[in-house]
Amino acid sequence: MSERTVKEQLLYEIGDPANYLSPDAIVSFLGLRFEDLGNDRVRVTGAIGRAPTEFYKVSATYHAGWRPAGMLTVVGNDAVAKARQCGRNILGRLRRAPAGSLVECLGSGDTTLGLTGRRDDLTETVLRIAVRDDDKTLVEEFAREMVPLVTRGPQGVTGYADGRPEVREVFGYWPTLINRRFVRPTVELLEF
Amino acid sequence: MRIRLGDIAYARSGDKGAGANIGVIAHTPAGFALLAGLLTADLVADFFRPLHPGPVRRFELPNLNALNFILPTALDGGGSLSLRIDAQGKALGQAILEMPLDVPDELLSQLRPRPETPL
Repeated sequence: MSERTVKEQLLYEIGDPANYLSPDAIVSFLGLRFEDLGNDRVRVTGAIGRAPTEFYKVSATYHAGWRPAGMLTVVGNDAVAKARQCGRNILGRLRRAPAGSLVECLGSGDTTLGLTGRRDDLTETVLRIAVRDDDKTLVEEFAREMVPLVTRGPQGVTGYADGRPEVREVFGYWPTLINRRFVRPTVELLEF
Repeated sequence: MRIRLGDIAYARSGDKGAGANIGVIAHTPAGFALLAGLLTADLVADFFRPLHPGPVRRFELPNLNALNFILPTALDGGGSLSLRIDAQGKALGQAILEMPLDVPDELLSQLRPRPETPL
């Protein structure tokens, strides 16, 4: 732990640093001071809190369909082109196009959509295909199509030890606010 | 001289619902002064255009030598709605560090991390 790692974590997943909303206080980070004490200790002072808002945040979710994602490893001096073709083939075999689908060739730069550079001259890549649809039978059809690519697709496709991609429920996220006078917090302690 | 942002700053990113935040921390106060001028919300929005980031907001934390950016729609729906491998935007901090920057040569020694700064 150092001043540097503490600053990094402080900025992690925040919005306005002058108005960090928590259930107990609105916090300003703009007066924070750091003192590296050594031995993995950093003193942080100067946080300023104000009275919280009258709201709690509700992290509500709703059913938004089904989503499996599968990965296979594709090898060969044309690995990326071969993997992209495999992706098109699998999606093309489905009885209709899913509401959403994405083919990624990991290692070629797809994780950041090319922002960190692209390389197509790889000798191997991980082919990742994800689909989403409201019709569970359609996404199950996709999950069944993924693994046979190893045996009946082009040579040099491997890594199916984890089996068929798991069909997971998609939870859409719907954050909202509720006035705290409608909420009575209770605490329950469970002993194990 | 052309450098990459990662030569003079470090970063951390993550998800805020369907959006992402990217904190960029300059190694030195001179670096922060430079980045406060160069690294505008518009420039960041343009860099992340392939992700469809939406209207980017920028917050300044001079006491941390840091800038915090919010990209409200960068995560393709975010959470389990997104089909991307990086559905939580954890890679975006690394990505922004690859941004090329043109800085005056004579300023470089004031921007780089001090040798004793631990990684």
